[in-house]
Amino acid sequence: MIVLVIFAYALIIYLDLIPLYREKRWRDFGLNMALTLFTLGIALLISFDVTIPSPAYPIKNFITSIIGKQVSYE
Amino acid sequence: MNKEMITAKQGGYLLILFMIGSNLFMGLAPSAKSDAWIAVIVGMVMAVPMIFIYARLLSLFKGRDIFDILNLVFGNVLGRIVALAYIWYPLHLGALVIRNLGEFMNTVAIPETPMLLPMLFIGILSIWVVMAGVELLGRCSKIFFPIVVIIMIITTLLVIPYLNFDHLKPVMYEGIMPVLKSGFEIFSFPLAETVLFIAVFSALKTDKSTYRVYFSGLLIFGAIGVLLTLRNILVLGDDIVGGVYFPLYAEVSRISIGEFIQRIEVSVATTFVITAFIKVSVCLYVTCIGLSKCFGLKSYRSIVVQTGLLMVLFAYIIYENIMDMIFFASVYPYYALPFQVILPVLTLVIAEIRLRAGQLQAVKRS
Repeated sequence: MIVLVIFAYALIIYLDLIPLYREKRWRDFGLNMALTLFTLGIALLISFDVTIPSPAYPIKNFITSIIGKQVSYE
Repeated sequence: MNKEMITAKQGGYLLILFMIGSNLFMGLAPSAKSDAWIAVIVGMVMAVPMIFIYARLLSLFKGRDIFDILNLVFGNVLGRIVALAYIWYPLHLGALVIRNLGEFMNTVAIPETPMLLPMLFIGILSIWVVMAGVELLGRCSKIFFPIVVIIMIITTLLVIPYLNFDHLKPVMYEGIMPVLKSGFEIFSFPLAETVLFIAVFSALKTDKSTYRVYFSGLLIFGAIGVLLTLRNILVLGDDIVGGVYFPLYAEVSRISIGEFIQRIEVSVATTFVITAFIKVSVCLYVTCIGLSKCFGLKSYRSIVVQTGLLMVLFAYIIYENIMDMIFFASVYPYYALPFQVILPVLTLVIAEIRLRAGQLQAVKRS
């Protein structure tokens, strides 16, 4: 699993990130690099079986506290 | 300028497929029970003013998408902060739709396969189509729309022997309130999500007004929605429709004509995959456009791959099980309200005021 993730990311970086570096489009390169590191981190954590906290639960709690009632399961 | 364009027809098809995407299969308005078909009509009526607002924004600023509009109306700094909301919302929505598809595959179609796999493949397809541009998306929808409609018509014809009109009665047994509440759910789940199309329809090549595209899409979706909801209720009855996760699938799996035409629920799965693919692609496209406008990139294509992967991974971690998904769907209308109603109304009000005051005169090109 981990080997697959690293291999896939190597391929993606070679095909997607390096051309931006060659064309010297620094803004595109920077944002792409940041996103790549972020998703690589998440993918590695998933492959290590780490539970990543989901933003859905804080959103749910926040909205339930605003509308002031427990929403039913229907 | 080699700007990408889609025709009005393609735009309409795209809009309808986007609205159908994943909602009909989850079952529209389960809490209204046997009055769900009335709730669809109520939801459509509720959506008319909002769609009027979206179309008005588009026709005020022709050829500009929502991020340009926010930039013009709110100014450079505040506009970018507000634009962050419209980057987050399609990302989250796309993740929800991918997750719906994954749960569908995992629950009914291919339970042995890990959920990441179908999600990853639909993500890769969406990345591909967004890389190719919005033109390709328009042409895709033009091809897919007849397929979806033909499958709907055929299954409707085959399901006729199973109709039981007693399921419709009693009409509005619990009063008007559940119907209105479900109408609001339908308003927020498929209909007002078309706020994202303010970003897509900047590429619309039409002399006719965007009002026409928007409202024809809404009417056709309404017809399909009422038909399918009515079918669900008539075949399954309100108890089962509220009880299963994917009522349309359960309904079509009952078809057995002469012990020969059976097991055609795969056709419903096909339409689900098609419409989910279109919806995810539109969400991904809007997210990428927003990110590239917000950070001043030259082309949105340089970040599509990473954004798509982020969406898939986000969909993978967002819920622990299907119950969380169903529960979040009940909170979703309130969560989506700022993106769907409050921000567009605010934008339109400020835009109108600034246009009247003459501050935005130069940008109005109509």
